[in-house]
Amino acid sequence: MKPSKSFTVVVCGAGHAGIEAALILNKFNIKTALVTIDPLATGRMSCNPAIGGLAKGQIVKEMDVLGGIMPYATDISALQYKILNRSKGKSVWSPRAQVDKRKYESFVSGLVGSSQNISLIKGEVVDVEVANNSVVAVILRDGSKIGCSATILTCGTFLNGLLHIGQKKIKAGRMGENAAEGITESLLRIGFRSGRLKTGTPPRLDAKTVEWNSLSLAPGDKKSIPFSYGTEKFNPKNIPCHTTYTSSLTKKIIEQNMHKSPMFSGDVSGVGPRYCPSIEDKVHRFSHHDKHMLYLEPEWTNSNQIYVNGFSTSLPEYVQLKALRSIKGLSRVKLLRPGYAVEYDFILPSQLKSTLETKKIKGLFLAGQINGTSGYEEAAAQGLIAGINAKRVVANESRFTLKRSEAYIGVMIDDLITKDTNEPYRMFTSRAEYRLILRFSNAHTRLLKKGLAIGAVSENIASKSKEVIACIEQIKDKLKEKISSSEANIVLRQKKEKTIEAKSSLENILKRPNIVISDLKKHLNTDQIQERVNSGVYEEIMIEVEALIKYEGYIKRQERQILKISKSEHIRIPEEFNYSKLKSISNEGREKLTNIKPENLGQAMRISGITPADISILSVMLSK
Amino acid sequence: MMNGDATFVAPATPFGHSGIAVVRLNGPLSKEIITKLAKNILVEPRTPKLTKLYSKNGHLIDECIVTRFDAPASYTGDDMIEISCHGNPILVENIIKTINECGARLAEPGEFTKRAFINGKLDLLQAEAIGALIKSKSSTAARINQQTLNGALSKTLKIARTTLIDVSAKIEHSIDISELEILDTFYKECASQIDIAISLTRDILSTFKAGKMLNEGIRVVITGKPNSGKSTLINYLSGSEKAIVSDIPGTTRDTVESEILIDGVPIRFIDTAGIHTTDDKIEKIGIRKANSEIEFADLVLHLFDNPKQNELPKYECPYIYILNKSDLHKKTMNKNSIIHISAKTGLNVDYLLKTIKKTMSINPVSTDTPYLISQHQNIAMVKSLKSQKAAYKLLNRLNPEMEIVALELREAIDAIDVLMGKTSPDDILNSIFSTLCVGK
Repeated sequence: MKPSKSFTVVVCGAGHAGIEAALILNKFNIKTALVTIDPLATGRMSCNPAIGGLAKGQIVKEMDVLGGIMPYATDISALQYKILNRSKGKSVWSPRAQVDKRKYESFVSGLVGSSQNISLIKGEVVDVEVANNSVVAVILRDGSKIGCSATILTCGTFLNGLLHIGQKKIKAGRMGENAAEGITESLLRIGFRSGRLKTGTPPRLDAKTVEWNSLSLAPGDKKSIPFSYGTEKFNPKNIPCHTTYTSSLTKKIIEQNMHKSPMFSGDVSGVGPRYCPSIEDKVHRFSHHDKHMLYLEPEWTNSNQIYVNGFSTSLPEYVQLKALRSIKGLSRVKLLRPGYAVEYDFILPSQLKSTLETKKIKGLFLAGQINGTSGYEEAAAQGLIAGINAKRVVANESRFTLKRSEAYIGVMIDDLITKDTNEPYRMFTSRAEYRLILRFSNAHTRLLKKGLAIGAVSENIASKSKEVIACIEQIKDKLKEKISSSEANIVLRQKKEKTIEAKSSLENILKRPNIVISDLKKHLNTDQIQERVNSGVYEEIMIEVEALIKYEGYIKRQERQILKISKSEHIRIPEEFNYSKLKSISNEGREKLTNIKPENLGQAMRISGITPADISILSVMLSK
Repeated sequence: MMNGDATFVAPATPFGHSGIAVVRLNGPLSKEIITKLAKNILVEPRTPKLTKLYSKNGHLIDECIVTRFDAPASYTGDDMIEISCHGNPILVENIIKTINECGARLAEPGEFTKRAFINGKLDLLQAEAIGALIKSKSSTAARINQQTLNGALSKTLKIARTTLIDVSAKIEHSIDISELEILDTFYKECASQIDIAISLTRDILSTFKAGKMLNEGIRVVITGKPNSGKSTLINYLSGSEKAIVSDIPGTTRDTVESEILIDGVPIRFIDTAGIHTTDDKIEKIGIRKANSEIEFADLVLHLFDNPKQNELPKYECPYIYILNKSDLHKKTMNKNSIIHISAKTGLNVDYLLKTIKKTMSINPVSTDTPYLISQHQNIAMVKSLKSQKAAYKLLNRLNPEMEIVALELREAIDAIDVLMGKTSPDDILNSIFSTLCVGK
């Protein structure tokens, strides 16, 4: 059968991964089909109404300078901003924004609609057609065929998706949206290996039935920082969330009904995330905790629908309601939608290259939850990288990859392809061994060069990044200047720091543990910088300069480590390397190496189950 | 295909005359080559056989015991042949030359152990321990190295490592998952756990000096003018320890060496006879560096026989002044730092040995304690300790930056991993293998 239509690239799925892929391809003027079961759900935020968070905020920042849309779309729809982890060091500070889901969705789908090179097609991809180990077409449920040179599968939780609410099971990808069947089977036929994961979402409450006055307020930061340098006029809102706690009665109700949860009755075979446990999981695993904190988050401006962060559950609907009503402020609450668990197929990501192209099939890319990740940010970043490389495969250009030492996105992809996640993968700062260098506040300056090489970064963001680099240099120069001891001691005394006798550079004063950069504001002439950038970016610059000064020694140390470790990254392993020659390594190790085929020794070192002895032997063999 | 590509040969015993000498042949061609040398007489695996070996033109070289080991059941994991011949260097050379002509090359330093390592027969610590075992000078050292071979050192290290990983996990949790503010008690809890790892690491490190002493011994250089009694002292020391001591001819005519054991530690006395005779100017200079023997000494014994002597030389390493011929002097010098002996009669020599023990901190060692052997192990542990201490110090500060604490801990763990051969880069591997002697 001949294809009825042809595009250069077909993107399957219009979630956060699919959108980033399609939009970056549009910027490259690549004819792209965006195939989705429900075009009205384009860019939908299916779970929490927030973007960013611990380590995820860094990813969003990175996307801005690599040509992604998520940062800008977040700024457009933000309800409040907050930097998390403030009580820890600056390199693990992470920005997060509560967002208006509806605004986010409509902005993004509007952008897709107005993109000249994107054709939004309603349909369900059920098969991938391959010839000579290259993708040639995708086949839709109605039997039609779309020819292409590359395809990016971003199927989210839709692959054989199965929802659980108590004993009730519904075949669906999301509540009210049909599951996608056929792609897993198609990929298995080609020879891919798949697994099954589980995730969940909490119930949504009717805002009118919440006793708001009895809850505590959780506002955003007073000084907000935008995600995108493309955000010109930055007038952030600060709409508060609210907090409450589960009670001992809640605990009792859940304990009594535990057996009705499909998680505990054995109905769910997929593996759920340990870091984002359902409320029944929390009660079960942390039985010594009497209460758990919950956040009530508005889903959009003046929203009647409230998201209960921390109460993900798959208990029967009536148990959910009973448990919620035992919570302060929710005694008369009504549900707009129950929480549920969803099981879905994923493709083991060790079958991917660091470009997110499959090792087996040329032109076949996978991005987002299909790779075992969880989270909008993780998905979007993968979509972006897949989109960039789909273009490069089509144009036969060198591939674009990010190293672990360059970006959280690099860490994520490397983890995926070397470690084969066995639970939904989310980003953590501790996954990044060079996290002192991967700060949210230096995302733009650190990745500008890489971004420019992609050739899809807006002029605006590029020039703003250069401006920020100049501002940082200027402040750093200023910090080298010395002030008299009497001037310095005014600052030092205020912060109960030891006073000094002789002149001292501002830099040295800033290095004192209790001194922050705003203490030196008077000496830094920052007015001029405040004129050059908006208030949010100014705030970010100050955070960055402080981190640069305070962490100077440690940053240098990490840079040295990176240099050292890059040696093993440069030892390439030939694709046809015969691991059966390595008789003495463990069977598990040989099998893993044979399956995964790491691209270099560095990757091989990080494969789980590969022992140090295996690596020593491999390195001796490679150096022969 | 267990064998490597190359077949190589090397003597496994030191050159020189001895009862027997052992030659080892390793690699895919071993069987073929030995069959050629034995004129087609087949040697069964794992059965030592008296075999006549012939040179290429058919002359009998020697009658030897040949043992054949088939892969993977050999020391290296490859096909291997061990030839025990009569301990004559010329015979050994002939055997190796003939094997060479049959297609085996000479082994590189440590290549046998390297093959064993590549074939998974040894881990990195074990490989190093074997190097030390070959070189070990006393039975105590041999026992301790045997223990490292069994992985006792790895076990102690693992406890320290697990402790550090445990704290790291707690700290990472506080950074990445916990939404709670960090409490002061948390910092204290982490600090006290790190303290445990620190003392474990210190224990391991303190064994380095002792381990090194056991393996390499102590070089004691005896200085002094001619006729001050240096040779007499050495002779006396050798005589009193006859059972375990042998005189070893010096490498130069003027240096005589003798070795005794104190608490399992080999102590080598080196007589520098003749070195100081001519240049009086140098004697007047306080610190001596010119002499290479003294430069590499762990301890200097300076002998003199004139109780009236005022100026005594100083040395960079520890040193002991000895007034010899005390049986001839009526007066004695009133200085505690000077030991009076008579090398001829042996008067006070016991006291001298005790002083040497004390000065060099030689203590009876327990063979149950694992020992760090190589400098590379020592460096890794010093590095780990430094990071552990830094983390501990940070935690005792006000509002410590937890990701920095985590970084220090990660480096502390990494250093231990390097020691255990975990992420050991190639150059470390190579340097380990090249310090092992040829044939092992």
